Amino acid sequence: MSTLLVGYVSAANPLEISKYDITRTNIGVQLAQETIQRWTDNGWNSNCNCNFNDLEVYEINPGDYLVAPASAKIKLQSVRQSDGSVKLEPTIVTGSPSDSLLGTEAVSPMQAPYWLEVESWCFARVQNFMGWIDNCYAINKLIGETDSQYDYYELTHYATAASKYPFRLKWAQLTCRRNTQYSSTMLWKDWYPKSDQPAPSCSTITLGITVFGVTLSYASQICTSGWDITKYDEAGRFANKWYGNVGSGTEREVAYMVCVKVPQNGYAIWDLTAGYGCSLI
Amino acid sequence: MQVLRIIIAVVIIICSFAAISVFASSENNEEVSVEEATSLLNQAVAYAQARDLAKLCELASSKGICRHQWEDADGEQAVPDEPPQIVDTYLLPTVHLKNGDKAVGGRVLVLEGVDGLGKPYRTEFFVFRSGDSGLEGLAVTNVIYWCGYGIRQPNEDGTMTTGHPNPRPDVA
Repeated sequence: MSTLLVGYVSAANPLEISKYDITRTNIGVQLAQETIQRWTDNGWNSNCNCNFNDLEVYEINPGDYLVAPASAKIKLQSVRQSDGSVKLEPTIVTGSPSDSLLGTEAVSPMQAPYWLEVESWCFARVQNFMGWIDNCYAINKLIGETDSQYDYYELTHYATAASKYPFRLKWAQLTCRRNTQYSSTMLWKDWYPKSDQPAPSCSTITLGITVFGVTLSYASQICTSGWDITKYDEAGRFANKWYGNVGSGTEREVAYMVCVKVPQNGYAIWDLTAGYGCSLI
Repeated sequence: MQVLRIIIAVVIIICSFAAISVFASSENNEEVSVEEATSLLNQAVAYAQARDLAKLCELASSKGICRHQWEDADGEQAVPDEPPQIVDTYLLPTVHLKNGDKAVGGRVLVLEGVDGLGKPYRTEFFVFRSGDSGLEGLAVTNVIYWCGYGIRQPNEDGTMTTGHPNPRPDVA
């Protein structure tokens, strides 16, 4: 998955990060120590051989912490969210050899939080005599975050559907729901789209999920008439439906992203569905 | 007169079922051979190495998913220099779902190689018969053969359960 900033940045001016620095506070020291321990446990500390004094800790938004090597260049951006609110998001620029830690190597991007793709599958085409749907998903885990209680998982589920002659495609829907038998307990972190997306014509929509300042994005085509989402209170349960009326041979896309947190060392497992509806008129 | 209306209604119903049966039976259930699948793979490799995304996605069962997998795999720079190795092949059986739909079966080529960025990949290149395709009825899922996606069938109730690690090559 790409780690790109989503496409609705409203103010790209770099902001001063130092005022968010909490490195010397009790929570800052604690988070730095926990981070070093986690990096060491996972074998990610071999590049810089850091100790906790080599790290800087920032509280970017209330409760959102960023821990990074002191030499890392960090650019802050003010990003307008789809619900209209404005949130600060950091972009970590990897240090160059000249400002590397301890005069050894360049700071590895492995040391900043990043999304690791843990699953990526497509399903065989589901069809009947009226139409078909192809759907795929990818699951990403956030690695290197500073939350000692939870792990973060993101699901991107996407599909293409079409009708067969002489039928017309009326809707195509994707859903996800926590698998109660095997999954750890889920808590909501984020989802996208945030709201229904009417589409007067075809355009590209960029879906984005940001956790600990690291963004995953997915670009999909959205066409008439639009997408209709259902976000449930039940953590991890979501649906997105394309609705419209197109003839055979015309493909339509539908997609969503959800992000949940599970107790540390747990695993997020979903039941997915993909459906479509066709008619003669 | 009433009898005539009933006869006409019955004829219409029978014709409707016959039409539906024709549509349903028009799908070709013949197994996809290794040779057919390999031929499509060779086309995919040629289009990929020519950086011709449009032609490559014409082989795909879904153009939207093809374009996404191309981007997700880091685009043009990640196109492998070398053709993939076929390390396994098997038939994925058709699954008849409880709602009357079916998940199509076909031929899987398990491919391994190294992409243009030096990253090892293992991808399941799935070839199936599709009445909608102009390629002698064959279409490919995971035509971006370095994308690292696997192929699976849904459960009989139509749900699809996640929780399967990526098919990864054994890398020392």
